[in-house]
Parts: sequence; structure tokens; C-alpha cells
Amino acid sequence: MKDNSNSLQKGGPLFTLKGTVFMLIISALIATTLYFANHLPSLMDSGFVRQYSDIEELKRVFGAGTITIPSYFPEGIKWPPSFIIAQKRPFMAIAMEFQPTGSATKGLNIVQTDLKGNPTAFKRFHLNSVKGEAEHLIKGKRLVFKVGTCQGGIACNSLSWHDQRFYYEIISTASPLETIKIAESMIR
Amino acid sequence: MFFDINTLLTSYFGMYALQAVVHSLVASLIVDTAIVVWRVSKPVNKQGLRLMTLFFPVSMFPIYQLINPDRGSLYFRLGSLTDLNKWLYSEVFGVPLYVIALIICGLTTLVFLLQELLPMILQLVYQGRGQQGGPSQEGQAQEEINGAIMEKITGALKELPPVKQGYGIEVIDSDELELSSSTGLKPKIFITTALIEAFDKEHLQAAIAHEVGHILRSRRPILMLAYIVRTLVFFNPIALIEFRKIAQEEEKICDDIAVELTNNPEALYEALTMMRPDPHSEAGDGVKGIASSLEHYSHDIMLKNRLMRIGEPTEERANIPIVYAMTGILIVSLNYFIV
Repeated sequence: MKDNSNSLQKGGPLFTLKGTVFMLIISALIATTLYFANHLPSLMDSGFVRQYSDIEELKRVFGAGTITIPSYFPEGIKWPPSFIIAQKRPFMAIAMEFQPTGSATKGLNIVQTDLKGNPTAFKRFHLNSVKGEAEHLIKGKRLVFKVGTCQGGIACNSLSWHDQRFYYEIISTASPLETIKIAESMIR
Repeated sequence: MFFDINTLLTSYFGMYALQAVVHSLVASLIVDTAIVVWRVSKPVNKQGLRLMTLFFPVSMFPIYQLINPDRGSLYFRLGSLTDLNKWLYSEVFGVPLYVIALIICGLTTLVFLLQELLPMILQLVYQGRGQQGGPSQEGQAQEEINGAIMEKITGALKELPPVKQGYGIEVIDSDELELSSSTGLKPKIFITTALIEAFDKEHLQAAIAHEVGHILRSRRPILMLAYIVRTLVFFNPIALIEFRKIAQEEEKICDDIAVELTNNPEALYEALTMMRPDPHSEAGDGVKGIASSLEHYSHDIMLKNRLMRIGEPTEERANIPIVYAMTGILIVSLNYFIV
């Protein structure tokens, strides 16, 4: 027996249109409510991830001694950072992005996280394909150096290490030597 | 433990599971609104819309991630409508919300196991052993059922139009007014002797026609897929609620099929009225009694809803394909920005 209860509908176009407009309004209200409600956890607890306007604000919140900033920047990388995000909860993490001069493509990404944190979410760009990997020793610290390509097939490299408190990673489109010098300037 | 929770929540599986729950909540809200706004009245259309709350949250996450692999990154989350990780790590009276969320999902899993999976497994076992998987555990060989009962059933079946799918009838000796069906390769309708004695020929026809509706619809791929998806999202409390609503609409669809087969809505109305639970029956003591009372109450509410609409003409006022399309688009677009 054929179930005919789902035959083609005849309804009024105006009624359908009114309903569509109403649904769009309701959806906009839902979206707006969600957007503002999303700020509630940050109001209750300021440690959640957010964007910071500059290094000074970051130092005020996290303490100058906690943040590690390179003192060496290769030519072609702009200071100050163009984008800073950081959080204290659920684990401490800071990510800074530096633009290359005269271009809009990503130049340098520095990530610093708690040892128990997950740094992956903080990286703006990732080494999609690793073509080579090596270990370096700088000031007694073992660093892992990788060369490959990032999003868009751009040649990039990364250098990562950790101390007793934090994990650090530099992802850069600068030359490998420049990246090593950046890391050297960060390691105390 | 902390690191494990965080790793779990930021892993592909963790994000998938978490977003499936929240996305189904948003989908449920949009579907409920669509049903009210467009005054969707046919149960088959309501069911179709509700199926979106099951299918979309399960299927959209991988598609979203394919479209934008960075969707789970913090950079995307900063601009999103809702960053679920922020909520999960917020604390209520010192308890992180992810603990409360895990408890709710755990309870949902328990309900699924006890109310759905276990009865289904038991039914399969009974069927496998050749026992009656119907309403009562006590059975009687068919040759022992008296001739009058068999004559009544035969008479009722004669006047029902034949259906493409064959089915068997199995009579169970019981004092309860019960009727059910089993689907699958050899569908069967189970009727108790008490029901056969209580109903006249027209009531029997209507009741059997309702079960025939279930048998006819059991082979529809989309419903089979809904069962599979429902099992996969066993931890999702929204899916649990929505699936119940889908099942309720299925009952109404089968009522419509019964009316179409018998052309006698009054008979179905009277049959359902006779099957309503007795409000004065004793529920028993303690937790079991309360649970039994609640079950009776919800079953009664559902029956009342079914009774109210039997025989009522239903005509959709809105263009249903547009309703489906708009609802789907809104669900998909809003949920993309909830990470």
C-alpha cells in the first residue's frame, strides 16, 4: 500500500514567505544571543582565551617574567606582533604572530604553552609536509628543527623546545638560520 | 587527568562528540520553531523535519572540517558565535561544566542501554528462539486458541485491503489489551485474546491496520538509517528526546495509514480509547511505582494527542519543500559557527 501522506504541498506563497522572514528573524536572534552569551564565561573568569592589543597588556596580565619574547628579529619581520592571543585557562598559552614587512603573508608565529597544554590549536600556520628533521643543542637545551611546507605550499620551518615550565615553538617563513637565531635569543 | 580531558576535548573525536550534542540542540530549536511558524501539521512532514535534528549534527562536523580544517583552531573560535571550550571550563559552584556535561551524557547512555538497547536485544533473542516477542511472555499454541477468536480475526482481515508485504498474525493468551508488531524479514502482528474479545470486527480491523502501517513503513531506508544514527549517538540527550518525538510522529503516521486502509476513523478512535491505560489502576510503591505512573502518564498524553487528530483533515499551508530547505540551511549555517 503506497503511503500517500507526503504528497506535493499546495500552500500559499505569501504564508511561506512570511514564515521564511520570521524564521530569519528568529535565527538572527538566536545568533545574537549566542554571540553575547559567549562572552559570559570571560566575564566570570578573565583567564579564557582572548586577543590582546599589545605586548604591554600581555605583560600586565601574565607578568613580564612569564612571557618570552625574542630579542632578535631577522630583516623582513615586523615588530610589534600583529596579532596576540593568550589564555590562562584551561592551561597557560600565548601565541604571537609577526607579519613580514611589505607583504600580507604570514611571517613568524611564536607559541608558548604550559607543558600540560596542547599547542596545536594556537598555531596560526602548520608544517603540512615535513621534508627534514634534525636536533640542535642551544645553551644546553635540545631543540627539534623541522623543514617543510606550510599552508599554500609556502616553504617554512619550525623549531621547538621546552624548559621546566613551558613548551616553545617558532614557525617561520624566514631562513632556517634566522629561525635558529630567533630561538637563541629566546633561550636564557 | 586534566591533560587527558583537555586532550580529549580538543581531539577530533572530542570536538565531534561535543559539537554533535550542541548542534542537535540548536537544530531542535530551529525545527520546533519551523513547525510552529509554518504550522506544519502532517506527521510525516513533522517527522521529516525532526529527522534533521538526528542526521545533520552527525554528518555536518566532518563536512565543516573538510571545508575549513582550521575551524577547530583558536583563531576561528575567537570569531565564532559560541566557543564551547570556554563554557566547558567555566565553573558552577566550583565544579567545571565539563564534569556536569559528562554526567548528563553518562545518564543518557544509561537510559539508552536500559530502555532501548536491552529490550531490542531481548526481543531479538526471543524471536531467535522462536518465542513470541510480543507483549506477553506466556504463550499458547495457536491450535489451542478457540475457534471464535480465530473466526473474528479472519473476518477482520478479510475486509482489509491486501498489502504488498505479507505478514503473519500471532494470538497470545493474555488478559491485557495489547497489540504490537515485529518487523524484519517475516513481519508479524501480535494480538492478545483479551483484545480480540474486547474489540468488535471494526475495532480489530482498525487496530490491525495500524500495525500494518508500521510493517509497511519499517522498510523505508531513511527510518532504518535513523535507528542506526540514533544508536551511534547514544550519549546525546537531545537525540534521545528527538527520537522519542520521531517515534510519536510515526504512531500518528500509522494512524493515518489505518484510516486510509479502513476508511473508518471512528473505529480507530474507539479502539485507541479502549486501549488507554486505566487512570485508577494502582501503580505500586516506591521508585518503581513512580516510574510506572510517569510512564502511564506520558503514554496517556501521547494517546490523547493521537485521539485528537484522528480523522481531522490536515492540509499544509506552507510550501513544504521550501520549509525543509530553509530549515536545513539555517541549521547548517548557524551550527558552522558553533565550535
